[in-house]
Amino acid sequence: MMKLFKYDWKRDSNTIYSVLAVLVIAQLLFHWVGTARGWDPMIRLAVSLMMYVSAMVVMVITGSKGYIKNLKSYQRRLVPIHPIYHVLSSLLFSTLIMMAVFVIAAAHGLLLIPWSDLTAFLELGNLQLTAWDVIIAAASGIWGTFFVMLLIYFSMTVGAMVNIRGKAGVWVGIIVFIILSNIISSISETVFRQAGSATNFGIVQIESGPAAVPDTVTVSSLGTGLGGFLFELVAAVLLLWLMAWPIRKKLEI
Amino acid sequence: MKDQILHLQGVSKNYAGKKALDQVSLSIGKGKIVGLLGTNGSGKSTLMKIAAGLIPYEGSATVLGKPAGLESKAEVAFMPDRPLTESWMRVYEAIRMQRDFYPDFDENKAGQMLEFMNLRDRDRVSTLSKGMLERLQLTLTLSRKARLYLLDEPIGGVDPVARARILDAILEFYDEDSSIVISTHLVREIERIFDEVLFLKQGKVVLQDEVEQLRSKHGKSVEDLFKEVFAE
Amino acid sequence: MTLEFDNNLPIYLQIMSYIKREIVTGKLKAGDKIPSVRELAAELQINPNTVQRTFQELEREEVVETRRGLGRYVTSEEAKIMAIKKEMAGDLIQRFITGMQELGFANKDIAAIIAEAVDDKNPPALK
Repeated sequence: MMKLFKYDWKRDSNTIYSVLAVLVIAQLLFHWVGTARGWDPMIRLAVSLMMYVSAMVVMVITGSKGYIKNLKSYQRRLVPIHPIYHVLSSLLFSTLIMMAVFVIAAAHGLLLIPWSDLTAFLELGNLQLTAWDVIIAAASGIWGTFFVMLLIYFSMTVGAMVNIRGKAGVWVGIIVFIILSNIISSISETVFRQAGSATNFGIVQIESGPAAVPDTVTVSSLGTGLGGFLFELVAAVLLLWLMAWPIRKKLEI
Repeated sequence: MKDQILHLQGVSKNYAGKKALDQVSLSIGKGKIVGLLGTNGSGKSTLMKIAAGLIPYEGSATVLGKPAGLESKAEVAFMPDRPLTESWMRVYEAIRMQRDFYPDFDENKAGQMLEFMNLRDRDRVSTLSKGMLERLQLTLTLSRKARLYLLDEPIGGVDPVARARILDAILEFYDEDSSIVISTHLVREIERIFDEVLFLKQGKVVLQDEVEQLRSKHGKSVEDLFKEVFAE
Repeated sequence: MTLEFDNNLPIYLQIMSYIKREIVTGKLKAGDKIPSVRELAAELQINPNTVQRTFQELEREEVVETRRGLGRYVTSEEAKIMAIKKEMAGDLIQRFITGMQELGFANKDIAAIIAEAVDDKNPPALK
């Protein structure tokens, strides 16, 4: 699997390095210019978040394109390994590249905001983070990303079963994703009464960037998150198992 | 039965209601170079993809007794009509990737073949001509120590010089313990390297025989027979 | 080696007669080593099993012999080489005669025509 991952990485490493480099430079420039000229903190925050969201979108697209490329690639499909490794390798890849954006966002939040005029605006001055809070936040962030990507890949696989090269497959994939993510989040919410489950977390995190770090700390204390997490874990295993079957037995190429 | 490398029994394949293969049965013995001949759309590529374990099918297909699919992939080296490389690669990276994925990949052999094929390590895959790309594909495929080699149109669309080089390489680098299936519609250029030929017409096997047998029986070249069988 | 094959005839027969011709014309001498199956197959761009079969047939006819661990050699018996020569001459003559008969010549006429032709070809001094 790590060999598959290695070639997923090599294929897109240039894109990813460029996106990350552009992101860092743009944020730094924007922060510097914004501070120097005293722009409205609300607007600065919004623009900064927009940049992170765009970077995330690029990462999601890069990861998903890589996954579908692997499904279509004779070279990959000929490798004598169980198809689940193709899925896991792509998942690892997507999760890692998205975590890279998270890490930059977190570093941004931790290093720059405390010294800027945004601190007062966000009322973060008296926030106390323990190591445990940070670990929980990071772990649920990683899991949330992983799980959302799994849902995307699952939907793409279903789409590919319908039609691996045409438009019909894409639409089927999108519809499956919408239905599936709604089902899973509504189960997690109704059964586990937990709005901040990892699924939602993943989405919240994507939408709210650096500000989500303090957000989550309040939501995901260990006790309430566990049920939802276990549910998602079971769902993830089930989805992976379901995906391996069509890749092995149903997908044309 | 023991010397059979590939065995198909009643194999069929449908694409959206259209029959690509229709009840195909065939056996390929050890140490044979077999020509899979047919016009475009006769089912050659489909048959190869099934033998390579790449696509689902109906019926029974086995490689060394293992059902074609995940279990048989390690025994088969398939050169498809699509690239085994990715556009970001250089030649040596393509070789390295194959080595990483297949324990039976013989790097020494790959080195010899690259030299024989006039391919340079540092060449970018995306800048290779069609003929050079075919040579690289063949190198990637034949450098494995597989039991069954499947070459889909290895000389299709390349110039005569590359063609001769590719045929030379097949003869030079193939291994007597394994079998090679070569699909083509260019019969004349290649018929002398076959032990046997299989004619595939509209998804059905219409003829399978040893080529020398065919020549003495009919007093005709395989090419002439091909033209007769596929005359419209 | 240059050899044009006729795909309409079994290739192994063509390689056999090719090797015999090489022996008779002295390009391959008695006791010479002949190429391996692989070498010849690659050189002629021919299926290795076809080359193998050629060698087997030549061995059966005792034109070549295998020395264990060393490879294949042209027979060292001059008598055998003479026999091949005669056999090939016989083939040529037979084909010629058949052709002439098809043209409607009687055996007697054929002999006369041959005698005349051979005379013409010879230098006048020998007449």
